[in-house]
Amino acid sequence: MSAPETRSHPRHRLAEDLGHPVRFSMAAALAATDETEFAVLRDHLQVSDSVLSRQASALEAAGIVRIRRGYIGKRPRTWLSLTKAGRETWARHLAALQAIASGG
Amino acid sequence: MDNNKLSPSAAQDLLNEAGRLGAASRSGAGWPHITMLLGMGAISSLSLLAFWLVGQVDESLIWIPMVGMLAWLGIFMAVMLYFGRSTKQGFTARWGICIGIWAVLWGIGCVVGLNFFAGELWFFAATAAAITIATVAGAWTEASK
Repeated sequence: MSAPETRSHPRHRLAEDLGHPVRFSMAAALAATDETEFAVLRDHLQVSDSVLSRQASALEAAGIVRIRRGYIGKRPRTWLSLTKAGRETWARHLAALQAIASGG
Repeated sequence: MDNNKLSPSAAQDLLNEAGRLGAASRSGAGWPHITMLLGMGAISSLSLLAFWLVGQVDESLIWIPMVGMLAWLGIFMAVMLYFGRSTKQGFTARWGICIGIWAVLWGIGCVVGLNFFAGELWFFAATAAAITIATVAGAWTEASK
């Protein structure tokens, strides 16, 4: 198999940042919403605060997730959302998965 | 997971998981905002009719429906802010449009109605109906997403 054929395989279009299971699940959940509060996302993904916090920070550093901190009354709240670039990355990742699933 | 060893069936499993997580995220999102839209539509449209009614009796009593409306508006807003922990994709744009339409209709009802159509029931009824349609349509759209 020649090099160009190897590079055209859809797996090369998968986003490495979304390879981790928690990061993949986080992106999947956030893609369906404009913004989600940290605790809601933690409950959906069934992970601990520390795991979600660590993986969210990793995706924030990659420019995929935006983390917004604020208060409701005196209670601190943290909201997460996909950035514009993050939504594009997620769409490319899903398209590559679909190509692989269909035997591409 | 190793992207280089991803089989078609594993990719399909990931797609299924993504679909499940997306649906779960959407299903619990938005109800406080839907409640806010319906409540805001109800209290503001009924307040306009109350303004007309009070105007027939004693205009100085207009503060009574106004205070009642503001109190309920505060309650609905508190519920939305406290329980609104997730919003569906595209909510921000839809919310802006709906609140913008409501604000214009409410402004027309109050400013134009009270200054130029104070005794005209048809004007307040028409504005109240328009507010009802706008807010119910917004809430219905949000609930359907």
